[in-house]
Amino acid sequence: MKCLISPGFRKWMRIIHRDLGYLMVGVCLVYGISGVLMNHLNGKDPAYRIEQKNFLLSGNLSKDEFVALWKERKDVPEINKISDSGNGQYRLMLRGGSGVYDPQTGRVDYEIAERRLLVYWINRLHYNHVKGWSVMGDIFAVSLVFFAVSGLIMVPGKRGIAGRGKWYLLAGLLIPVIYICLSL
Amino acid sequence: MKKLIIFIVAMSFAAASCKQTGQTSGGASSETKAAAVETGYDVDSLLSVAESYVNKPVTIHGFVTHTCKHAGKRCFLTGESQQYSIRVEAKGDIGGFNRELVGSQLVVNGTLKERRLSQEEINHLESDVNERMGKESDPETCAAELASITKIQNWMKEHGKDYYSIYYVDGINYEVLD
Repeated sequence: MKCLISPGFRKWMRIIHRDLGYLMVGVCLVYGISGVLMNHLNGKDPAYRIEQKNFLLSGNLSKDEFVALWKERKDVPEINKISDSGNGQYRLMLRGGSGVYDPQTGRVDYEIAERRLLVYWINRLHYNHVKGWSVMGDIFAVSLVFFAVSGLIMVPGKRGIAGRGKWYLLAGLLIPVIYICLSL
Repeated sequence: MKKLIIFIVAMSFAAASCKQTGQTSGGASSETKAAAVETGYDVDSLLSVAESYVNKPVTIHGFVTHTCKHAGKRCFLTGESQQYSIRVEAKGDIGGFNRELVGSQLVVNGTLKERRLSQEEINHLESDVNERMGKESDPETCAAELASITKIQNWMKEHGKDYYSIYYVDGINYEVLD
């Protein structure tokens, strides 16, 4: 059977596939890693480490007394607002989080979110929340299509699409179809 | 050449790992922010006049109580009384609401929107909750939901309306008040 694809064309497919592949490693890792993280959110944002802390103060403090004692501490975040939560407790609005003070027990519970810088930024890139990233996202998307198409045709002979490659291709195309059929 | 490339890559990572504070959408002065608070609405006061501001630009300020974990697509602001809260969608220049904004006071510019729950939808909600009541492992949750639905129905009767309005803001930009 005569091959429709010239050796020269295949050669260039391999060259571009290789070099574009090197170029796109970083972007691939961004989408791959953040994709895994987002697939396993479990109700949490992986870009933040949530610290839950508590300590005891005197009981039955007024709001002003509470704020004065809070400000004396060095190990707590800035308090933005304190208000009644409606069930006898004080609701605390803190820089980076929130908390509760129970006047009956004197217990303070609060949580603060601390950013995980790397995860935060790769997720922002994946969500396209970085200015100008749309262009890069489109370039990456087109590159992925190129990798798929060039990967089909760049290997000749029995290891290529004409040989065992067609069976792998068929299996790969069936995977999403099977998932869809099973979910119906 | 190789050393230069390694140096550039290393510097890029170093720059990326610099600690950053919470993100704001601009760098307005404290006077500008104070002016925005004066001219804008607190959550409680906006909700009392919301009907006349639907689909109109508004400036609203309040404390962030919650941000959406998935991409920060929305946040909830509460007013001074902390009795009521309003949802703010991240639209316009807002890429997303960061988790660190919880507890901070924001001034948000956006458009006030209304979602009307019809009587039919509320009835459907009620029957849905009643159906779950028997199966639900936490009957308290169902009871709380039913109580909310009853409140809504009472409000509709008192105001002679056949719908219940839920107001939210399509945010365009925001500033963090220090």
